[in-house]
Amino acid sequence: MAATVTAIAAVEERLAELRGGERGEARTQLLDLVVLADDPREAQRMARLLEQLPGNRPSRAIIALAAHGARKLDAAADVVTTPSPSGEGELRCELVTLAAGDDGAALPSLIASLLLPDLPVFLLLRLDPERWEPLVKACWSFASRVVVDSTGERSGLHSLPGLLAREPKRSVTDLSWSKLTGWRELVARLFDPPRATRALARLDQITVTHAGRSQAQARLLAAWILSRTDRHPIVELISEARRDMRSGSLVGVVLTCRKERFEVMRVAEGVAELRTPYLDAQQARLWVPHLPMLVAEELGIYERDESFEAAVAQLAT
Amino acid sequence: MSTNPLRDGMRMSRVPGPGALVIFGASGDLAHRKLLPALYNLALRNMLPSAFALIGVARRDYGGDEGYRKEVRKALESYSRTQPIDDAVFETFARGIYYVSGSFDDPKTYADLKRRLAQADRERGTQGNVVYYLATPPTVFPLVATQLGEAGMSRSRTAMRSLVIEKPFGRDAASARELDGVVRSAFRENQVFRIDHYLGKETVQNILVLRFANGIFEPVWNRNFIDHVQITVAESLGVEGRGRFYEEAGAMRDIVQNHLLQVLSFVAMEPPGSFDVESVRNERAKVLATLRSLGTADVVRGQYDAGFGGGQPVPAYRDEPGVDPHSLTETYVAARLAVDNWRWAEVPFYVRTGKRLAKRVSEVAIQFKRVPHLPFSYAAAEQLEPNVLVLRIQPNEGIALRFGAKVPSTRTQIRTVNMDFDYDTAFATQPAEAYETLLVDALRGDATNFIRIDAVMDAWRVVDPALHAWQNEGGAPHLYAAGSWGPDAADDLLARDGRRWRRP
Repeated sequence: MAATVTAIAAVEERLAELRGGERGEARTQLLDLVVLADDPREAQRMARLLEQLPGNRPSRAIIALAAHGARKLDAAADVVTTPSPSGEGELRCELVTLAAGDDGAALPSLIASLLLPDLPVFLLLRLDPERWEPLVKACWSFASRVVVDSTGERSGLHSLPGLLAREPKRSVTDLSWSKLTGWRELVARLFDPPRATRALARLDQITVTHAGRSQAQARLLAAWILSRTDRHPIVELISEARRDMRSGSLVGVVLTCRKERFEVMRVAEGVAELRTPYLDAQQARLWVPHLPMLVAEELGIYERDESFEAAVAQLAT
Repeated sequence: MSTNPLRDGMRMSRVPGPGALVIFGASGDLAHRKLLPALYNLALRNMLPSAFALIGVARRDYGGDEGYRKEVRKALESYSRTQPIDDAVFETFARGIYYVSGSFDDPKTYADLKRRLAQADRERGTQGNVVYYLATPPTVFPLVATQLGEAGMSRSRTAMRSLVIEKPFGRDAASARELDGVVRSAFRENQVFRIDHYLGKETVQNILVLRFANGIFEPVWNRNFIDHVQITVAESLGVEGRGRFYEEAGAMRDIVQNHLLQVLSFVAMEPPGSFDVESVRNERAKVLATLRSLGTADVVRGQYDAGFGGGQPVPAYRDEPGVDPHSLTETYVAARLAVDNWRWAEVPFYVRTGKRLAKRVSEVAIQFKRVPHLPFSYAAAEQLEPNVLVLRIQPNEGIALRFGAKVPSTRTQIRTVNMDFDYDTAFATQPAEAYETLLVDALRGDATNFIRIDAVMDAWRVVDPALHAWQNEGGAPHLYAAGSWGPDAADDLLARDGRRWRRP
């Protein structure tokens, strides 16, 4: 207990010292970000990510590294500064890094005492929530929104139904789902013309091709389509070995509606081709952002995403 | 609306539906500097539908679609806020660009346009939805609207047809009424989108959020707590080669009648019951309807003389190219406006705008009344200023609050301090350009941020008496040195009420 108190005091003291340069200026505080990780490399990667966030930067980020065995409690503080988008100001994010052993038992109370008051708290899980259940459960009470990444190996789609069902209810999302935003937009566009909308009622097959082993994005996309249509089509997921793409990224989506094919195919980085029976083939921008952009996007959303929840519910069936 | 079930719950829900945008005046300055970059940046942010086509119409011959696409690329390289141009995005965007070369008074131009719209529908799936954008000189507005009507292109039973008209909408109430008559012979009022790009600015739209999404402001947003309001739209530049245009317009028509009165309507409006199009526009229009018309005693006009801009000597307005050496055109206006309703009775709204002023700034300053009794010694509170809430529209978009604070010491001494909120450093995102916001609105058929005809007519009713007096009664504008904050007469306007202009 004495060690905890010392750590908090030292961190607060260090943060006050680092804030010295802006003493006297009012700061606008937007949100707290808490990252839970179980791998030191991942914790470091998340710290670097803060410098690259293009928007919605947390006012304070706490990166907590948990270990199962014995480990000395560590705490450190820093301030990450980058130029503002206009170049006229400076963006500041206070960064606190914590590390604790014994399944991270000391971390929740440390984090709770270090959060900036009265701000939304985004809990980014870079560990498997089921393996770290007590830690996640303890942090759940102060989280406003919970973000996981099922494409990575640390977490998977399997944890989503449990997180969505957990009380009290929180806004939960998955970076794999966020990566699909551009794909969902283009798939929806295929069915904008009224004739195509009618064809969707005859959907009998969904084929999703993805790179590498991770099926998370492909399964979520198929589940989303199923949840939006009242059909029971065949779902086929095809894995392709692609050196130019990250594992799990989508390569193409084909929806077959009684012999009519509606396709979105990735043709290059950021570009897809849309093919439908009703229009000439056309290319469109495929928005698949890199990790900092994805995280920044999620940090700008506070509410529950019913489409995502419906897709996850569909996964369970 | 689409019944596409995949559209429900999309994050990109503000992406417009399928449609074509026709820009009349596609070779002009507005198209090159504002509209084309705005469209490209929307494409870059995935805010344009894939079933989108842009059809440029102008007299100039660019050598067909391909030639105009090259022209668009050049315009983007010069004026887009995002650089360098993304080749993949531009390629996709450019495939939907068509060009019609022809004169606006020639029916053949409209026949060609009709053909190209049908082609765009086939190739891009625009479903017959068309937004016509008049980026032409105002003198051409009636001609194009009439021709579109006569060609049977202004209405459709199955698709959206709308007309976007740039300001100025008329030169006075009479000409605005006349123009409206011509436009309305081809388009219904709900098809007409009168654009004032100030209404697309993030910070102007934020006035409503600040007022109606926060519990602490609205209770004090009235005559009981507010002493007066100052709205400033100041430019540090001169007429920048637009002398001929400016001679016809002047600051009153160019800025006061539209930008300033529209911003004022955001500040003074009542809370709407909901944020649907007509509820918001009704409340804004009601403010303009209750504005008292401007008499000459309540307005000061000025014209810049030689002086300094950015540390360099700059010429007087009358020495600018294209300007009459004896010009009486005002480059500065300051006015005292009154909103005749319960909330704002006896709260003056001071507005000012000018060219070649000390700095470029647009802001709204709400000055609150002083406390009824100050329980501190005069010495302690000598430098205490009234509370002011400043909504900065540009640059450095943000909000500042001025209040008194105790200077840390063993004695009581009060100083005025500013607390500042800055969009740039708070959200770390660059707001969209006003034209981007408004083009999406127009393509979606959302007229909330466009001006209804009754609001236009009331704005003319407010400024017309002053304009007519200046024209009929002679006199000359007060001269002010370039690089200053305007003529002394503008200071006198407020001094008469025991007040003074803020220094932004």
